[in-house]
Amino acid sequence: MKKFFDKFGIMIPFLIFIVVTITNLIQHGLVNFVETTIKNIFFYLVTCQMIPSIILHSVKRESTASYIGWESSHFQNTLAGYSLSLSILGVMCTIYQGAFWIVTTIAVTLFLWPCAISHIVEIKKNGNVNAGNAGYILYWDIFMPLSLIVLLVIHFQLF
Amino acid sequence: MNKKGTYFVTAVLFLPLLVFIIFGFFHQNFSSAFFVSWLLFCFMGLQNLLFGFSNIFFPLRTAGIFNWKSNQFQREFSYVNFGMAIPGILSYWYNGNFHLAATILYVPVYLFITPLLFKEIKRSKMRNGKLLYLFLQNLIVSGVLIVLLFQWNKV
Repeated sequence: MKKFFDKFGIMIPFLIFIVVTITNLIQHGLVNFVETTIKNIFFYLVTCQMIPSIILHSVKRESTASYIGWESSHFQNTLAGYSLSLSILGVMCTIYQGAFWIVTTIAVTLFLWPCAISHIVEIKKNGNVNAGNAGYILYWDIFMPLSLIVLLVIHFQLF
Repeated sequence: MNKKGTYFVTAVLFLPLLVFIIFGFFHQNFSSAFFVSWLLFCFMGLQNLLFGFSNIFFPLRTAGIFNWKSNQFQREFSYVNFGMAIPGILSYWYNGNFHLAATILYVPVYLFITPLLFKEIKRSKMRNGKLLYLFLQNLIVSGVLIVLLFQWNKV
């Protein structure tokens, strides 16, 4: 059970998000679907996904670094702090819209996309295929901000 | 290259304060709203933008301020810097909830690493002037932002 949790525990927020989105779609159809999905992304894929990262990058620094395949460093504490900021913003985004949505999306995108590029470079250069470098997190780094941007463009009818 | 790094890292720390004082002093319509946008623009936007480049191009010099080990996590810290820099710069033009959101993004990061910085300042027996400055600056800016936004929301 512990092994299973260690391996797939990180995906729990995503799985809950999928269940909640499907349930929402069945119950309410396409009424307010985009807005609700944006709020769900902020809550489940930003806040819930980032909360463990606060503890992992501060209290369990060493084991997290080895999970990624890197050496531990005090710089991880800044990542923990940033995760805390984004977690708070994620919750606020379910209450407030507009500016909060834009700031959080910018902050998430400018952080996660370059991180994804770093992880890809690490895979190509050093063959680092550790779960923390090449697993679920890599896809989350790329597709979570992308889905947010697409949904915000639709919501604000920018095109 | 080494000298360039030293100059750049020094600029990262002190340029935002200079810009804040010089351009802020000569601004014509000084108000509390402008003060918050100017604080966010200089210390969250400009400083993090410079910090981001400094972490990428002069990693050893920058890590030297904190006396921390430079590795891939420092590169990720530079992305954190860019993630904070853009909302900080945009805060100059967008007000209201944008300021609140930017403050929520800025304050926890620095308050989270404050104990670590304090430990390092104690270890170096207050001889690390750059770190001491950064520590005090972040503490003061965070405090002022929290107080101002709290006051603002009460009004």
